[in-house]
Amino acid sequence: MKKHASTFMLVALLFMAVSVFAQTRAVNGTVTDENGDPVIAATVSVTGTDIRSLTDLEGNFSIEAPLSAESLTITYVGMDQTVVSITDEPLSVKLFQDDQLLEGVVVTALGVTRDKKSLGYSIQEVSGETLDQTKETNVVNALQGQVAGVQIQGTQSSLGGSSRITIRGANSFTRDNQPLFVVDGVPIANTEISSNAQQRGFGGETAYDYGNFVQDLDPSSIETMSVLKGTAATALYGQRGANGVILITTKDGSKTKGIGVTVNSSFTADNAVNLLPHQQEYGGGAVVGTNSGFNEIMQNGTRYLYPVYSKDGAWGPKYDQSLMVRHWDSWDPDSPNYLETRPWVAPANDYEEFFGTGLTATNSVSLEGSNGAGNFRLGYTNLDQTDVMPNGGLQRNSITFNSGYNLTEKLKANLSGNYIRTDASGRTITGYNNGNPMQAFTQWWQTQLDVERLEQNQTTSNGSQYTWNALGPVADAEGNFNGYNFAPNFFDNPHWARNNYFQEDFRNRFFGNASLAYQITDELGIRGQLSTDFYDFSAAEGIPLASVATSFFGAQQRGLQENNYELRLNYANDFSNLFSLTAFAGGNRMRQDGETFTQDSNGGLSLEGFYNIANSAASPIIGSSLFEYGINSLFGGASFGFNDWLYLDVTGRNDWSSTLPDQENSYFYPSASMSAVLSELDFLANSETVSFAKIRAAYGEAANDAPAYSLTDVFSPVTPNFGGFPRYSVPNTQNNPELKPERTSEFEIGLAASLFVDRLNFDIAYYDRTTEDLIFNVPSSSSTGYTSRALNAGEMRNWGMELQLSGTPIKTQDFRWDLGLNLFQQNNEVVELADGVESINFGNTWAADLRVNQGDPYMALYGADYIRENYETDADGNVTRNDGELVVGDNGFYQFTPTRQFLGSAIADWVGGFNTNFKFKNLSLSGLFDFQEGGVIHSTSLQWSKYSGMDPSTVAFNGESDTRANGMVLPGVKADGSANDIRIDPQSYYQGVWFQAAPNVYDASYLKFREARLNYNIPNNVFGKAPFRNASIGVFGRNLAILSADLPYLDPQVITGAGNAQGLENAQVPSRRSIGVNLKFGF
Amino acid sequence: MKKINKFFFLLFAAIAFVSCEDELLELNVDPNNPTDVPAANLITQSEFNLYQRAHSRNINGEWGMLMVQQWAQNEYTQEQRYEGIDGSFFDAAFQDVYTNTLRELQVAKQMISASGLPAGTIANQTAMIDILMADGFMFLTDGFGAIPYSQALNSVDFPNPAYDSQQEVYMGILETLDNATASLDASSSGLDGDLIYGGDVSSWKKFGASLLLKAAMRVVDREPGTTSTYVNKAMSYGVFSDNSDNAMFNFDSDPALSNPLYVDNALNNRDDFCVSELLVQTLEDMGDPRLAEFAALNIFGEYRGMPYGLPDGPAFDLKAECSRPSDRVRSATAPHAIMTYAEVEFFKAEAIERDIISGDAEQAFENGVEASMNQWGIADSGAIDNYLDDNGYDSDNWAQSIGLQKWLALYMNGHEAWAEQRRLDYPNLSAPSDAAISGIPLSFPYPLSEQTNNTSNLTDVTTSPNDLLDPVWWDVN
Repeated sequence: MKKHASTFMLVALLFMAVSVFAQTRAVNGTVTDENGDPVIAATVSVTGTDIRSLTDLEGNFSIEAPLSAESLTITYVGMDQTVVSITDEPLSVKLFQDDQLLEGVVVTALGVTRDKKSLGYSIQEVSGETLDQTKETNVVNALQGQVAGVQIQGTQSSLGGSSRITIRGANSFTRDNQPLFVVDGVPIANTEISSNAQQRGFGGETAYDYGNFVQDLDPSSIETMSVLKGTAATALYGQRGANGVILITTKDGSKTKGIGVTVNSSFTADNAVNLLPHQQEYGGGAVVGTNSGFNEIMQNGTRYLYPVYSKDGAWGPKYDQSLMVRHWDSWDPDSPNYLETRPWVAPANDYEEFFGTGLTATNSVSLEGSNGAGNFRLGYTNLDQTDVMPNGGLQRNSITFNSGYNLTEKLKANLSGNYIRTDASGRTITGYNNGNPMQAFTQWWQTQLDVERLEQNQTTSNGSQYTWNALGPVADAEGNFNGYNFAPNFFDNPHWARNNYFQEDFRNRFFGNASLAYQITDELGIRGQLSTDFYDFSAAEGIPLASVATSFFGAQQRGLQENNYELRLNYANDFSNLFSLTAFAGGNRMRQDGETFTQDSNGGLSLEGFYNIANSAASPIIGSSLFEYGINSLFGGASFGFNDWLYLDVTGRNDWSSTLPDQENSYFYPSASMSAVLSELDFLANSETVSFAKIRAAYGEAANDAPAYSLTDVFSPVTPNFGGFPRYSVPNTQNNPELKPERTSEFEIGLAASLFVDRLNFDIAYYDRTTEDLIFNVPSSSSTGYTSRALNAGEMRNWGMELQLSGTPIKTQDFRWDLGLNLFQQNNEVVELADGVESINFGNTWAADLRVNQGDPYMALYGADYIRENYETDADGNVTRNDGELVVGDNGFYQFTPTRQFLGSAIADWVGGFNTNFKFKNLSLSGLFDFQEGGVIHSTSLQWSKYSGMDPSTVAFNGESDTRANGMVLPGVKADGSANDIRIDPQSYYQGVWFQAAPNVYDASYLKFREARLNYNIPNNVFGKAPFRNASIGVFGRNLAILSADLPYLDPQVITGAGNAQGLENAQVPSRRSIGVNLKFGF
Repeated sequence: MKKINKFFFLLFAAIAFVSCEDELLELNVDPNNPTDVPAANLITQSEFNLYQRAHSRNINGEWGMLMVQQWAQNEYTQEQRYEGIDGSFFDAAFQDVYTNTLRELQVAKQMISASGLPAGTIANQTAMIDILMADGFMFLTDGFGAIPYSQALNSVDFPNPAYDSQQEVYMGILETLDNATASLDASSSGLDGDLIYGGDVSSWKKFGASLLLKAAMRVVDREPGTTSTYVNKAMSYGVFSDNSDNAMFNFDSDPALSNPLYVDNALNNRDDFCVSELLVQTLEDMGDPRLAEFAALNIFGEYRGMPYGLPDGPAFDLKAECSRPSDRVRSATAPHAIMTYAEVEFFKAEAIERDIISGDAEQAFENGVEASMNQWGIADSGAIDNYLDDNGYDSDNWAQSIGLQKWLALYMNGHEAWAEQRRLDYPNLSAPSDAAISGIPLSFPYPLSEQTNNTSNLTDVTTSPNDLLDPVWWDVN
């Protein structure tokens, strides 16, 4: 009864307040949305007063305003607050969708919808429309430039390839640092299966990029995405939220009264971009000791010149139109161009022509609706993609279902499910392998090669492989032609490889949940939910017998299922105007199980073209791995609100994990946050400038368990048996029965404000997070018998600032210009490793290696640095100073430090995005730019493209041309300090310094023109009586240009796997620029 | 009250729902890896691993066979010019021998000593493991010099093992080999899972004695007294007496278990090595029938060696016409010769010359040459006699005679050949003119993993871990 009494009091007070203003007039008007549809139940109030009214079913309102009043304020959830001047005419008010960041409601941890202003921690929302507007197929890539606090490594490159996302940096040395994805309350796996070696570009001959599995999610099914950044925001997810949480709410039917159908079709054309150019003054091969510099051979009485086909490089003779030579495709005696000679010139079709135009068609249809009892949405999306790499394609079919039904007044049921089937074939092999054509194109190639000829002549007339890199002609001792060896030396014909390598995979994915909620009293409710996520992934890979690589067939099946059972009590009570409380308590039981089966051929295959394990030359190698894991949890939280301006949240959670020892497997962690809405206080309440302001502070902790099976020492089977003798080995990591949970704690503060009647909004946050007692395999001297030991050791700190800024410089009834900026400045430090451990090696290329090194940022890149004029070392040989001009030695080459130095980290200093959006009536134009400042990358492609004479700098350098003939002088100083004047041969130089890292280490900074989009909403009245509504047509572009980057030619964002080992580029698969059209209509 | 009851009921339900501790613990039992296996399975793996490593492209192809200049690279010739070789080059070898051979052997030894086997069997099996471990440590110290030894393989007490000088390591190896060989008793059983001798105890005793001979001779320039003691002990235990005693690791035809140089060439299609001009010239000059066993004919049907140590361009020019290693040594089942009777005879000849043991040095030398010929399939004793007449033993220059024949006998065992060439300084080799450093490497650079993970202990023995010209202790000149 108490509550009712207070409501009565309020009404009475309002009534009294209204009657004080006797001098009033009636103001009438209509409120519509962007599409001209009425907005029902919008709140219309007289600005600066408590006088309110609601719009009716047609969007009409009427309000009694004091004569002194000048304006009305109209608000509606999810729409921008709008202020209009009172006129004598009926008002026509258009509300725009709320893109702003400070007010309204937001989905927080465990799916709880909260008032943004009450939150004491940072959370950022991205609308599904934003994510889907340029039809990016990987939801992680769609977040580029959208969220402050997020760094994305990866971009659209390999078909269905990986992208890596981290929020507020990396917390763990060796484990997953990517956030938890939760879709409608269901945690879904973002599995990525690339090895550390693949991330470094050395994943072997079948290093296909199978992507990060969260890309199964169809971006067009997303209603909103909330990015929970800090530990206080994610504490309720327990350890699994320690890297941040991305909370996705899918579309449901609740916004559609009755039944509606929406159809969306888009077509995108992709092109390979950011290709490394080749010099085109000299051809391939090598200059040999003949007069011509070509190989020479006598055949049928004619002396022929031919380049050294077996050499995979471009230090061959200079182009000369008048020189007629035998090219690689003139040796098949049964082909029409046998014995043909052609001029020694640049090719008509350089390797850029190898790539086709990729096409992506995305068609979706959804049926949605609601009535008083419930709502539903059923959606289907078909994605059909052909790759820019010849012979690659991917199809994804998604069915999503989402429904809610009120069984009784108090009992509500929800059911949602997503089924996704992905099929792909001809994915791209990544990294340093013959099967990845980019290895040849970017590192080992002959510049005169014409890719169209490689396509036309990929097989000889008897059907065997015909490659440019054949072992070549065989001469007798007198130099007469004595046969031709067609076998490849290092490289297959790239077209032949794309057509003859075998790769197919499919994945079945389902995630969904069922829940029942019962409202016991007005204040108390209970909700139970079952959710599941599982996938079944199957891939088969093959290498033909005729390849230069060992022929191969391999198949893998991977499955993972996670089930969650959750029961929760919710309590909410507004005790009075002064005090409100919401609280909840519950429990969760999580179980994961998975399996991986692999079968690989051994010693190659027996039959050509038969890709089956039965075709293995020797007994196949079989692997099997099973996995089980569980966490039980109890959690609770309470939110207190005081007088609508001060809010306090506390949460607590206790987890019991299966992976920790009995006595250490229970751990508790709390969080607390506070928000003060200053604009509700007297001193700001009537400010003209500040319409909203709040300050907030939060502290949260998280704990994390160990990887499964880390406690007990075991033996590992090694296959195959040696002639009947089984083999077992002692694992190289020593397990530890005394592990305890690792601990993260984070403090954050923030300030958010809206100025000038919501024209300028900003939200700024500072965070400082430390993770201690990290569980990782501490590397040990292998002379201990182990390369590592599982220990709780080490500490990593992340701290930085986030800024979200948005503004609306122009806003009229018809025209609106919005600007937005996300800015993220991050710092990271490996504070401490284990006792006596200074560094963890994380893998290397020839010239550079990755380390987790005490005192450096995470994933530090090490390699030899240039020696500069002021080079000083201490007694231990550590470099203490190294600046000034580069120094050359007596040979005219740059000098390098004798030991490897810290050259930077892949972690960016600044990440950000800038967007601009114009709306004129039904037309909108938007653009997105994103950038990264800082971070480093080592390019093996550039290393070898210089070594092999492909890089333009091998023929022209520092303003000098034809340096192969004239030599070149490196800018720098000699040991005596005078300017360098030693002329050197480019080939000797580039082939003498390839193993030094510094010449190929670049700043990873970039500025990209990420997106542009022009969209036209066709007014509903255009269709007359036809049943169409909400139709729109748009054109868009994505990954339009790299406007600025330090790394020449290549895209600094392309990665080969989403794991921790980043910063080493190797034969990158080109990134893609997309142009598309989108058509949408409903009826 | 009712509501409160309901609330507590639900709370209890929630607690019951989440807390079944026993079930949680069961989830963490590893289904993929057993906690107990027969020691024999570790023995098989550790033997395979050690000798596969010794015969690998990394140790044998890109290092040992190049250091002794019997092979030459025909393209990408960095290694033969000692260019760009730093701590990462031998990282894998160091880690592999400690963690995938020595650790397995040590665990197997602990299992055996705790087993219920008869005491004599335990003693024999332990001794065999000790011999294998000694061979593994010798492999490491001959390459690196000082290595962790007394504190190695004990992560509990020594998480950061200190380095022992090579002198200490060799004293330990000698003592181990001596004790182990002495304790082998053919009246009890030997090891299960052994791929070298099938666990035969008397074969192992000869193997132990022969390794003892080798280890003792290795330190002769430093500790002649120690050498004398152990050589005589070795002789008393009984060393190899013919080729049937040879310790051979026979690779399997299964490609996963086959000769790594076969895998490199036949499966991975790498064709980077030719036999050297020096090897071909030497064999041709001596009329040595082993030439046809060591090298393949080139495209013109001749034996043509590649000059050693050329830069990339000139080497590549000759690639097409240089002779490759023979099909015999590149076959899938070509064995790794761990130690042979020929080596034993050469050590005996040297020990006689040094007055450590008595005997006929020339006879021992000739026995060694004949054994090597036989081992390479040359059985014609008349031809061997003629060869020995033409290329006779020179007692005055015994080191030269023995060094040259040992160099030939150790073909395809590059790591051992490099060690003996460093010790005897014959044949007299010099660094190629295009070498990146001033001499032939005298030791492995220390692994990058040790430079980063065991920094201070490594710094105690060297401040220049990447120096290739730092001789190991037994290498006096």
